[in-house]
Amino acid sequence: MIDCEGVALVPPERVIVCAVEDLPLRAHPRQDADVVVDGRSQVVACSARARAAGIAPGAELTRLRARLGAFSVVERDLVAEEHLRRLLARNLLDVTPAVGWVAGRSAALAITVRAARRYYGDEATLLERVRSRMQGFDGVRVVVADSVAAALLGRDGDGDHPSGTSRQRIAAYPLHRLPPWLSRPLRAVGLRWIGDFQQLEPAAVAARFAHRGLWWHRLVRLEGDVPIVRRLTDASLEPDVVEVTVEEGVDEAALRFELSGALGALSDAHAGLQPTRWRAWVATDRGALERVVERPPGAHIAEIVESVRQLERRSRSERGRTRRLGVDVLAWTQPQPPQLALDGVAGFRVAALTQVLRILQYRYGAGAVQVPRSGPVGRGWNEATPWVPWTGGWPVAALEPSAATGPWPGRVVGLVPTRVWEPPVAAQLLDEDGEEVTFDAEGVVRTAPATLRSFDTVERVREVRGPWVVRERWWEQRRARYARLLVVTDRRWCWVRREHGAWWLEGSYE
Amino acid sequence: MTSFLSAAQLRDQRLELAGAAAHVLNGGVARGTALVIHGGLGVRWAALEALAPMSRRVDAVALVGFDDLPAAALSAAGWSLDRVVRVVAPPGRLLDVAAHLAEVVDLLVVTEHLVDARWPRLLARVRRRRGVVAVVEHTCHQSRHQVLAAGGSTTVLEVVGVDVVGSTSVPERLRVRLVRGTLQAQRALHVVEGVR
Repeated sequence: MIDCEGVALVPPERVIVCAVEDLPLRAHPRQDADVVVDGRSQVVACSARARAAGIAPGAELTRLRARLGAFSVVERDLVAEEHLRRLLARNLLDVTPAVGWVAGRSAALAITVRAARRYYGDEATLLERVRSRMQGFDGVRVVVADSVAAALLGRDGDGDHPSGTSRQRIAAYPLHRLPPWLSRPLRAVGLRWIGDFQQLEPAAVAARFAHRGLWWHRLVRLEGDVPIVRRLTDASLEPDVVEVTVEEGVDEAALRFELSGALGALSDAHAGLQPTRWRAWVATDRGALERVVERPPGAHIAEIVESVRQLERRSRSERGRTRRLGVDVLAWTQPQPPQLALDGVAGFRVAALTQVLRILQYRYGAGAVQVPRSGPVGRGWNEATPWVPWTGGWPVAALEPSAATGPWPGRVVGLVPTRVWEPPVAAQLLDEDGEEVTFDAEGVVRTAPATLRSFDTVERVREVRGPWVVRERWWEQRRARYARLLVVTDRRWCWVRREHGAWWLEGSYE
Repeated sequence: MTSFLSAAQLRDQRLELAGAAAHVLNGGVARGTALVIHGGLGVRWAALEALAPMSRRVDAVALVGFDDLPAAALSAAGWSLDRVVRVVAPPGRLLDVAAHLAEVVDLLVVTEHLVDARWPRLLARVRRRRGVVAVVEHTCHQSRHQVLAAGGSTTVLEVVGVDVVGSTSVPERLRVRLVRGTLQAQRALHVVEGVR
């Protein structure tokens, strides 16, 4: 399954893809293993026998107890997996240097045919050479197709895609090869094949599945492809080992200093990269302790040293004196902002943001997520630049210059209040005697305001500015529509409005 | 969560402020921290003015709990509006909304109502993302400040005065005076230590 949704797609290119099915199972040293689980007891790979019994990757072990029966369950071995991956990559590098990892797939390598063809003359010779190299490996599927996604959607027995035919070939694949959130609704409306999905209008897909559906739609129509994130070199496959021999009587600070120095030198040699997976190990008189640590965003040297120190402390009590300790760096990565990085793939942060905004819209309604837009220009503070529901896309389109400076009658000049109530809130403006302040027909205040009551609070009025009277359709000799006052209290400056025989709180500077 | 960045690296990662806040916090505010701006009149304007350069520099800014803030006020304070999003949700769900957004935005601006016992967890998310969370607080409350202090990594600005500037009767500009403040909980601690 392709599991890097949201990644910015690249133009498709003809590729040879070598994908290892159930890599954690095939790499595991125990040959009789049926189910491989990770540290959180989630199934990461399983044998055909276990699959037939209803066990599938992604399931939680605790929910499968009844089905496990005689199957042997083992914990995944990251070191063995890394070794197998390197072995595969080294074998392919012997054929061509145009090899790279597929984004979001730890067990798929891709060779761009165009780059490699110059050495071999034609595609068939290159394919033959790759297949012969992969013959010794169990469970490796080698397929040539017009895009990486087309190759990954295939299964054993689907065969190669002749040039220019991938779109037709994947059209004949069943729909359940797409993710369940996409395939189930499509099957519910009668679609059976990926070809049916290809023929849908993008607008219809966008309306039902939003950007996630469009991403898959472009992928199966071969309008975009999953990127190849990292090209490999021989040097990148060599293990990076740092080892320190512990002399008698040496203190912990000195050890840490030596280890940091060695790791610093190693890090300098990989300029611009950070360790993302490493094996910390400690060899003592009575045995050894090791631990594989993974930090997908990339780790600092201090973090690696700390992992070794913890291991060394654990070994002290039972395992005698420490003889040697060290670190094998198993994988490097481009330094990424933590948490939302995907191994150097651009566009993932924006995809994460849009996904969160869509979740919030789903939970609280389409109007819950709002962005500013230049709107129908009017006299209100909220009309020149209104908040409107977010409709997808980030960043939102730049605002057009507002024409709010036009002569709108009733538009308030000066600074926009930092709080504007929409609609205005009922308030009471009272004079010293507790009577409501009123206007006469000319818009002159009859008595001086003394207190302002709103939201169950009473504020002493220190100063009043105005009034500003707004008359509409003055030629009809109607009364003033409303009048505004700027009231200064101890807590704030606020705009109040007299309309329909009542006072309304419009906005305030806070 | 321990930061492995050196002091120099942390300084480089600071985000600049504007207005009175820029004078008070000359080096700006560090990523992965909280900025609390509290006081009475002028606090909201002070926050908008201070955060304006950040809105132009970062990828995404989210406002939570500001249902009555007009977009024109952001524009007047100098914000870039093409990377700003406001989320309106029921009051009881605002912290959940903020927790979601903390993972994906660089600057999260919230009101005082979002500060409760779950605050340290929200701040941890912001720190992991290396973003900044700004809290705009109208009324100080000691229990809330205890929660803010528990989260750590907090810079406090306090509004000590505001002048309304305008050649006419209508305000044309607010000039806010700020000082580097302390949370009430910290202040109480200082007093206790002084007595001892």
